[in-house]
Order: sequence, then structure tokens, then C-alpha cells
Amino acid sequence: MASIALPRPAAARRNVVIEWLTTVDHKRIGILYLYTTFFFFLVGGIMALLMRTQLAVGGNDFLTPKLYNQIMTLHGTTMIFLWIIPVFSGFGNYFVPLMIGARDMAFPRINAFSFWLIPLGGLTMYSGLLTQTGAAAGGWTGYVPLTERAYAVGLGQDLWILGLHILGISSIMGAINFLVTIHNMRTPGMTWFRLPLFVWSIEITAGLTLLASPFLAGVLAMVLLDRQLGTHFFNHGSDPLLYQFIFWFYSHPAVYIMILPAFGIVSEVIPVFSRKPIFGYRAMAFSMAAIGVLGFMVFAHHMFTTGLPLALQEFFMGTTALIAVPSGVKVLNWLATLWGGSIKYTAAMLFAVAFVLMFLVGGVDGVFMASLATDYQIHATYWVVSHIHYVLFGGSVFGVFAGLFYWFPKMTGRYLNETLGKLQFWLQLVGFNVTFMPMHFLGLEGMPRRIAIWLPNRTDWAPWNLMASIGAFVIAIAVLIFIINFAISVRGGRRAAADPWQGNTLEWATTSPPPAYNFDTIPPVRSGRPVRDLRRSVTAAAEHA
Amino acid sequence: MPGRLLLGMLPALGAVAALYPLPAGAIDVSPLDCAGPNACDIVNLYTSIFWIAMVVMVIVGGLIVYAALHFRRKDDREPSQVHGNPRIEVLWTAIPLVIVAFLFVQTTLRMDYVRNGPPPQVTIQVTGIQWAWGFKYSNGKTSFTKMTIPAGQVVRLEVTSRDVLHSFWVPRLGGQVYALPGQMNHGWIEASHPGQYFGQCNEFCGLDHYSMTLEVDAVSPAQYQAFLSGAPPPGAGPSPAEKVNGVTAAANVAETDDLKFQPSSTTVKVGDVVQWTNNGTAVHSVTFDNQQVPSLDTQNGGETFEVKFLQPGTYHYICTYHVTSGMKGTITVSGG
Repeated sequence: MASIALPRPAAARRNVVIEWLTTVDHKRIGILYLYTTFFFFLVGGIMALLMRTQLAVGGNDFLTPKLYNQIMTLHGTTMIFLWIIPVFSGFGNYFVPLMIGARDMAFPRINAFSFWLIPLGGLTMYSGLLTQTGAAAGGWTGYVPLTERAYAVGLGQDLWILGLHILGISSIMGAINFLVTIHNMRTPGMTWFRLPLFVWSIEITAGLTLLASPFLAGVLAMVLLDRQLGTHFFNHGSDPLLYQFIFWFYSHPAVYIMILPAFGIVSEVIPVFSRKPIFGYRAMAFSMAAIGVLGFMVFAHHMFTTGLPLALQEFFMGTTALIAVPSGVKVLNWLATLWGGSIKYTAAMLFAVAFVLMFLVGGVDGVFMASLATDYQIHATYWVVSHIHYVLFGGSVFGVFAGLFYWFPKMTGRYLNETLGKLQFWLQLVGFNVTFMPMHFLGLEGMPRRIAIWLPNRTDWAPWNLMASIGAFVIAIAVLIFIINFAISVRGGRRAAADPWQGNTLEWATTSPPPAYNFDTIPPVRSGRPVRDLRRSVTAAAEHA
Repeated sequence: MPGRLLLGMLPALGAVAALYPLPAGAIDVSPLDCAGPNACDIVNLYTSIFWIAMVVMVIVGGLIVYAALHFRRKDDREPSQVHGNPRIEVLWTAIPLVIVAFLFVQTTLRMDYVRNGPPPQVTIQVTGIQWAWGFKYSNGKTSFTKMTIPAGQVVRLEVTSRDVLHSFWVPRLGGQVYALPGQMNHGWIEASHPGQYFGQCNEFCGLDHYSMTLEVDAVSPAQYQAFLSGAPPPGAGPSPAEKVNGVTAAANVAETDDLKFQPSSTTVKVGDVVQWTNNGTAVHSVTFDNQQVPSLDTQNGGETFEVKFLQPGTYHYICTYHVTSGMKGTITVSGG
């Protein structure tokens, strides 16, 4: 048959840089998200190393308190708003359309716009560093009245608020995009209870983002108006606790915004490498939904020491204790998925199993803070620092790496190097625990968080602080190994087939990397594991023949 | 030895800690080393939660590790495809529910005691200031940074702040109490035995948050009465300065609306009086780091404040409202 060489469309000859900068393809946008957020992860990580260097010994003068407070503030804000939350938007962008058998996100241009707001928001926030008075230094919580004009002079705090507003717009638009995509663009047969758990997690996360983010935007706008126009929302005798109520009404659900997608990733990785379906699929979906709903009802547990009426504190203690139940169900269902499986330890699987263990620690040490009386003694100490990192680093970040190792072959057509991956995993696991386990003990020995210098006469704090600082550098080495692994593998890694792990979900039914239009033909969806069904029907047909 | 309880439970880690010699002057601020009934009640609850948590950790964590090691892939056969088991799932929804319900009830039963305490014998007003603690006793006497309490008595604390949020915390005597501007929060502490107990502000409060330390001196009730009546504590030197009124000043310091003490450094002789005048409309304070020098917490526009210096030396003071803008001053007192 004669073939006719068609002229290549003009777009294909365009400069590759311009192509990436103007792309509205969900996969490219997803990759842009991953690059950008990983960059911010490195920036936030360097800030963490600076802080751990300062805190390694008592009475240190490596950083001035002024600089330390800025770095402490930017580390928290960076890791939450520029790394963990948007990195999952990156995974969501790339894989939600593929997993539901769609060609793209519902609103590709809005999608691109949501992405480009991320670097803009980040740079706006960081630009405070260039002002004479420095960047924001009120902690990532930005509590009033410390962030009011009387106590936070200069533009740093205003730029921080503007940056968060920009990131908030990005999150809200992204959330709407995910919700519309998941609700309207599922391929025939992809019913709600055949939806991959990762898609469930993005659905619930997007719902939380949409409902909660406006509260953060609103409360920050009030502070901004106080600072710039002299309104009196939070100064001149107004109740500073009002800020905290509104702030935590966003920021507690935000904790789940930061962990639910990691639940989703782990719920994809563990079944594939155990060669079993997820145990209790519906319970897994419902428990995420329950966490999402309860997540709106526990926010005042961040305020137990502020003198709220005892009855109110007890109510929030009760709801907080309740949220342990769906979390417990998740852990036990992951355990049951492993049980009786045929487990293959790839780097992705190692990260996923470690995720479950670290999340267990972060869940159990959270119970101490849920109990009012013990919270009076550990609130705002290093115990809290430990808890949040067990959930967000041992949990979410390990989940991110599980996702990166699992989906890298799909995104690039090549494997990440498994040996380097396992080396990174063990260093990261050890480094993480060496860093954050001692922080429990620091909390129990009365060390407040957010202190720029710890007084050397608190001698009990010395060994734990030194240990934590050493651990931080071990984590840094692990991350460095990942960067090397990435640099080697992205061009020279072992080639991966379309379905290298014997996956279950639709993204494995297309080529690696997928074409711009995602699928030549979308396989029929008759169960929660359409690609497994496809594999089996092919095998059966071969045997029959 | 601090954290005895913790380290006792974790002997291996305790051994690491023991490698570090304890120098003289070491300060113990561990809430686990409770020294009064409020703090010790919390330690009892902590211990109970700790053991429940350990049991959960060991069982669930152990099962995960066991499963992760035992069920490694041995051959290419597909394992049995179990999708779930409603009975087991109901069971392990119920078990955590029972555990957290127990913890909830256990904590709730102790909360009235921990939060409100027995009827107080002494009430002290606590004010957080960037970056110091002020204390006001029942007879109007004040002190900064160091609070004196009678040992063996219930001390009610009425806590507020003059500027931003702070948190009053002396871990060995009781839980934290937030200091909120414009509001009065309450808490209580009791030291079972005389001694010194330390703490520091536990809510991030700006630039020098780390330096906002405090000390509680628990003394015998008799010594406490002597402290209140103003008898100098044994061993204390003569007072370096005293507050006076209407005396002709040897030196004047103006407080201006551009947030400066004018002049910022002044030299006087022993026996001289320095007068501060608020020339503007903004509120200021004259707060000395030496707590034996009288300070003025609030000075409105037009008001004056006089101090007579009795001992040679250098005295640093700040305006607590505007110290972030660099509003600081020094008085140098030269000998006779």
C-alpha cells in the first residue's frame, strides 16, 4: 500500500521550550508540577538543613534569630503549600485522566493557569527576602497579632499573604477541574466503585480543597486589610482566637489534603506488588470520605491551650479521637492486603510499606495530643514537630517517592534505577527516624518548637538535638541519591514496557509514555482492575488458540 | 535525672543519653519529672496512654513487619484473590472505637481537676510581654521573670498578654496556659516541695521568643509572706534604684512618636534622678532588664516617670511595645 508523507503540522516544529511553556496537555502539566514542586522541596529542605545546623548544639549563633524565624516560617510554608499540596496535584493531573480513561482534564487551559500560579505564588512569597526587613517571620500559621503591622513591620508579611492567596486560587481552580473531570469524564463502565482508590483520594482531596481554601483566603485577606488599610479585624482589642478558628477550619482539613492522595498512591502500589486486590475496597473509599468529613470537625484541637471552655475542648477531643477509627481501618486494610500476598520489593513497594509503618507511628503519637491533659504538656513542643513530620514526611513524602518509582516508567518509558532507589530508601528511612524520633523525647523534655536558640543549660536536649541534626543530613544524602538516580535514568534508564509491573488500572493499558491523546482504544471496564482483566483475557485467548 | 520515666521505658536510648555528662547548672524542664499534683496527674494519664499506644504499636507494627517479611514472592503463582471480609472489617472498626472511647472517658474524668484545680490559696496575675514575664501578687507587689510561690499551696494563675500571644509554661508544675491580649485565661500550678522550677514561653512570639524564660521559686509559706511584705531576701544587695515622684531630675529622656528614647544613652551620678516624658501620643513603657530597678509598664502621652539611681553601673532598658523598632536606651550611673 502506498503511503503519502503528510506535511508535519506547524505545531510539531515549534521550539520545545515554547511547547512546554504553552502546553495544555494534562500529562505535560503534571510533569511541570512535579519538576516545580520538587524544586521547592529542595529549597525547603535546604532551609531545614540550615535550621538543624543552628539547633545541633545549644546557644549556637550560626543563624541570627531574625533569620532563623524567617527560615522557619518559609520552611513550613514551602513544604506545605509549594511541595506537598501541589505535588499531588501533579500526580493527579498526570494520572486521573489516564486512570478514568479520559483524553484530558475537563478544563485544559484552566489547568495550565493553575500550574503557572504555583511558581508565581512561591516567588511572591520568597521576594520578601529581598526587602530590607526580610521575609515573613510569623510561622507558617501566621497567628495574629504577631503578624499585624504593629509587630511585623515591612512588606515580608504582606508578600507572604499575597503568595498564599495566589496559591489558594491555584488550588481552588485545580480542585474544580479535578471534580468536574472525575464526575463527567469517566469512560463507560468506570462506575464509582470501580474507580481506582487514587482517583477516590483526589476526588475527596479536591472536595476538601474547594470547601476549605476560601476560609484561609478570607482570613488572610482580613489580616492584609488590617495591615494595609487599617481595618480592625484582629487588632485593637479584637479576639485573636477568631483568627485561629478560621485558620484551622482550613488548615486542619489541609492536613488531610496533604495525606489523602498519599493514601491513594499507596493503595495502588501495595495491591500491584502483592498481586492481590486491595482488601476492603469500599471500606478504603468510605474511610477516606469519613476522614474528609471528620476533618472539618476537629480543628479546635489545635487550640486546646488557649482557654476554650472545657465542654468545647471535650467535644473536639471526642471528634479527634473518632478520626483515629477510619485511620486505623486504613492501616489494617493495608496490612490485610499484604497478608497472604506475593510481595515483590521494588523501591516503590519499599516506600509504600514504610509509609504504612511511619503513618502508624504518626497516628499513634497523635493520640497523646488528642487527650486534653497530655496536650497541655506537649502542645507546641517538639513532640508536635515530630508528629507532623511522621505524618507528612514519613507519610506523605514516602508516598510521593512510592508514586515516583511506581509511575516513572509510565511517564518516561524508562525505569528509575532500582539499586539506587533501594539505597535511597534505606538511607531515607534511617535518616528520617534518626531525625524525628528524638523529637518526641525533646518534646517530653520540655523543648518548645520555633525557638531560634536553645539555652545550653537545658543539657537533656543536647544528645537528641545532635542526633536529629545528623539524621537531617542523612536524609539530604538520600535525596541527593534520588537526584542522581533521576539524572541517570531519565535519559539512560532501562526501557520499560507499557505495563511493567502488571498493573491493574487503565494507565497501564496505553504506551509508556502515553501519546498526547492517551489511548488508541480504551479497554472495557468490567471491574476495578480492567488491565488485569485484559491481561487474563489475552492469556486465556492464547491458551485457547 | 530528667525524663526518668521515658528513659526507663527506653533503656537503650537512656544509655545514649547517659554518655553525656550532666554539667553543674543543668536545668530540668521535663514535664515527665513532675513536681506538683497538677503535673503529676498529667503524667499518670500520659503513662496510661503510653502503654496502650505501645501495645497498639507492637501488635499492629509487628503484624505489618511480619506480613512484609513473610509474604515475600517465592514463585510466580498468583495468590488467592481476597477482596475483603466484612466480619473482620467490622471487628477492626470496633476495636479502635473501643480504645479511643476508653481514652476519651479516662481523660474527661480528670479534666476538671487538671484545668480548674482545687480551690486556690494564692492568686497571681501573669502578663506576657515581648520578651519577658511579669507577675503581680495579691498585695500589688510585682516581679519580672522570677515568680515566687508558696510550696504546697494551690496557686491560681490569671494569665494575659500585653502584646502578642504567649504561653506560660513551667512543665514540672503544670500544663500550658495561653496568654492572650485583652483576655484573661486561667490555670493553676502547685509545687509539692520548695525549689526552683524553670520554663519558657511556648508560643512563638516574635524575634526573641527563644529568650523569654521564666523561673518559679517555690518557698515555704513563711518565706512567701516575707517576700510579699517586701523584706529583702537574705543575701540580696542594696536596691540599685527607686521610683520617686516630683523630684527635680538631673537628666531628662523624651519618648518620641518616631519610636526613640531621646537621648538613647544618658550618664548620671549616684543619687541622681532621671525623668522620662512621653512627648508624643503613642503608648510606651520603660522596662529595665535589671528587675530590681522599677519599671513602668504603660506610659501614655504626656505622662512622666522618675527613677532615682542609688548604685553605680550600666542599666539597659527598652520600650516593650517598640523594641522591634529598636526603641532601647541605657543609663550609665557613675560613682558618687
